[in-house]
Amino acid sequence: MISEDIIINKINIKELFNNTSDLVLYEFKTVSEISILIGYIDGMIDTDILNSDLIKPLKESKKIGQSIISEVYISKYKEIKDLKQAIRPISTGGVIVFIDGIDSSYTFNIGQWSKRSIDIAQNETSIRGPQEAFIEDIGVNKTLIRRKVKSNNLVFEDYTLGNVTNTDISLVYIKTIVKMEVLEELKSRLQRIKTDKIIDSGNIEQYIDDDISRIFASLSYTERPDILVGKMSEGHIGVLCDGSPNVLTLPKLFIENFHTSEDQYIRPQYATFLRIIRLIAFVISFTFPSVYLSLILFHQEMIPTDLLISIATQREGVPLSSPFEVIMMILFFELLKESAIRLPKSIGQAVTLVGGLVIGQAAIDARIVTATLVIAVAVSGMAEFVVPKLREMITIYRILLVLIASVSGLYGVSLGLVMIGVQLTSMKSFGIPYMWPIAPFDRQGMKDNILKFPMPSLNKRPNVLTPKKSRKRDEDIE
Amino acid sequence: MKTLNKSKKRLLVFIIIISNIFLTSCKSAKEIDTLGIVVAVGFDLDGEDVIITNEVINPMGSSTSQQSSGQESTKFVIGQGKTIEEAILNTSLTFDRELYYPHAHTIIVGEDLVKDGFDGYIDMLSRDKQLRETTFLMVAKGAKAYEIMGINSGLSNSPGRYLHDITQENMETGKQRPLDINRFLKYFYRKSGGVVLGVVEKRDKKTANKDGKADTIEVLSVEGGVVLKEKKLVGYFTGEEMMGFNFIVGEFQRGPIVFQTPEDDKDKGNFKKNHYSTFKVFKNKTTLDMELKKDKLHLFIDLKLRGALKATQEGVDLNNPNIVKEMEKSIEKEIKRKIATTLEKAQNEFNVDTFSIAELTHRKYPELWKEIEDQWPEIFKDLDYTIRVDASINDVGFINTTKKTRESIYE
Repeated sequence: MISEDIIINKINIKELFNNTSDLVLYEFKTVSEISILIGYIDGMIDTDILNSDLIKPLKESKKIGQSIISEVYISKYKEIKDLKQAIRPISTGGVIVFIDGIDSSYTFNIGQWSKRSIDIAQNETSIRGPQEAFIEDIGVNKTLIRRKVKSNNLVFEDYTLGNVTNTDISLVYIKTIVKMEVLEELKSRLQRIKTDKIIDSGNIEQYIDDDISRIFASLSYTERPDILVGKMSEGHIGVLCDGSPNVLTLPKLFIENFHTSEDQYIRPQYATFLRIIRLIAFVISFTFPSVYLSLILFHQEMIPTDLLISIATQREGVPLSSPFEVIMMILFFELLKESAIRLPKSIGQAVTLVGGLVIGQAAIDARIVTATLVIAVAVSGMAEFVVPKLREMITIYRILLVLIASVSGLYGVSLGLVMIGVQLTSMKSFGIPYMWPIAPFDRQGMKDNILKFPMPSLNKRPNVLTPKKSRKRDEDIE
Repeated sequence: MKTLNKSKKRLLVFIIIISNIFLTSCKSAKEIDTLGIVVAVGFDLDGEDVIITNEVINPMGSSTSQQSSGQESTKFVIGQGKTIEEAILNTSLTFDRELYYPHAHTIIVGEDLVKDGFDGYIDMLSRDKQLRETTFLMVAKGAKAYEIMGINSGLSNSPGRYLHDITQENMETGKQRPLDINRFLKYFYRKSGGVVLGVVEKRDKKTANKDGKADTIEVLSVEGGVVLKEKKLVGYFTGEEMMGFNFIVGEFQRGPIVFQTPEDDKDKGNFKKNHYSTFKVFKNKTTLDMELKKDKLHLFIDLKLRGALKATQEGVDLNNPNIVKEMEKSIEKEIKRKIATTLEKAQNEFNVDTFSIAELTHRKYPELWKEIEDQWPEIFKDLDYTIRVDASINDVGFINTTKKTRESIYE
């Protein structure tokens, strides 16, 4: 409860915040000799606004009472009856104002803190199209979205998660396009989250994923507002998390891994070509070492004679067994990748150079590995970077397939691929089949997802992601 | 059936997958450096025993990038035994690698073995899992297989590859018969008739060297064919006769035909006698037909050829359609002669039907076939035939008149 005496209030609020050092309390008197106490957290507010729009008008005010709102030039305010209600406004850049003799108080939000400016997308780069990326601040992110969708149907729904961090979460969707079943499912999953901390949207992902035991995520993420808006216009929902530049999008389709924002902006013929390249790269990236290994170990008759002789020449004098050789090279590649990512950029390049050229070449010369194998592993590694969103899955399954291949050859590899296929087709993301439009097959979806038809010919929204009465895209949305 | 709970279901799926992997009777892994990759195989007879000669790739000698220590690119591994299989197994007593046959592209059979009767030895060709069905099968003419196998006078880096490559590259002459195991066995086990197999022969050939002196080197030639009758060798077809053979069985697809330029005729042009021109076939279709004429079988061989004139003699005016027709007639005559020679030899010298004419008769007159089946060799010997050739010159090249003719026109 808030007392009429500001001295008691001062003691109470200090106690409430456990005497934290960054809580600033300032007491002053108006011209009409009324004591006022304001409190805020250092560094969380705009002090210019505080001085000119809050303290100055209050000081100069001749009669002050319940009408404090009309004296102050700040619109974001909230009336506080219980001191506990003030914790959150103060923590998010609010200034609490107690007036002597009145048993209620107000908070005014004039939050301003240092944050990164909007930058060029680092991880999802493109040549053509918008370059801006989300930043860590949820308010700025919301603005970025709103600037792209100037519609009353764009809805943000705010939540707070984590009973320690109290992180702001915001769902964003276009009300006329989104499928209500998906939205309800998402809301119910969000409400089930019980945790003390949410630091990044990756934490939320783990709580609301369909099946976290699977390596395939049923949520996607993006750092680009244009991708988010493009997805929302097809019935996806975004989950913004304060403090994270990655916005979750859901439901996720497997085929989304092969899409880039640029596909929408470049010539459709080229976009189709690129998508096919990405699909091929995906297959190569996780099957190449295992297929190579099965050919070398079990199916030597399938290798052309000249190549076989060439490989036999290289194998001569290599002390390690082929499976061990492959696994060693894959691990070496992972090492190289991890060290290049974690190190500062300037050293990172040196690591790649030393690792890639020197060690690779030296290993072949020293007859520790065969050159063909290095090519096989390097090609699969290159292909992995073409579909970076499937990196986790590719890395794990590549090693698993190599292990199966070393026991049972191509038969084992095909068995492994069947199992991956079964897993993929049985998956659902928030009730939507993961492999749409391949299984279940959808001709309209193929035009937009596997191939890329020109925009004017794609005038239907994906039917699994949008309500049944899916309208044509060129019609008006009321 | 009771519904299984989730963990039991998972266990069941796991067991199915594991048993799928381990119960397939798949062979176990073999590292490449434990294999001796065989590129060519030779079979010979030595008294009671079979000798098998394997040409094995030597990985250290095959590398082109590194300075290898002057090692041979291939090694010859020889095994001896009562059967081919035993001979192969016996090689492991003296050789350090397991012989690996899927990359053997040629099998050479010594003449002795074919004369002795091929039957007892070739079962392994189709029964063995490792041999490919596309492997070429050839007979070493007048030699042992191992005498042939060491020769490499081509650019390939091993004798086996050299032999395989000349077999394949020479397909355009029509003078040979590249027969793989698959097709060989198809002909070999049929009831009546024989097989014509490819041959390989060692020849001395003149060559030039840096010093400018004449020299001879040993080369391999795959010209000609060997005739098997009742699974034994009866004789050889020469290269020319093989052209006739390939025309009859319809396997002459592309190749040159050298024919006599038509004789001198004032109206048609100004030719000299006994000069030859070359015609290159680029498409040929052979149709065999059998007809019953007055209780006697009569064979019709129809050929339809298209091709280009590659070279002719001076003074032939190819602008004149009549002359082109004359040339075509001459080509037809030449082809007829070739076919007749081959048929003559097959009928009278070998008395074996290697052209699948028996199958043709069986197909056409199934009732009659039952009666004549046993007397087929005699019937084949006296079989009458008609050869009808329709050759057309579709292309005469960049020039159509020779220099001399042009001069006479513009004088």
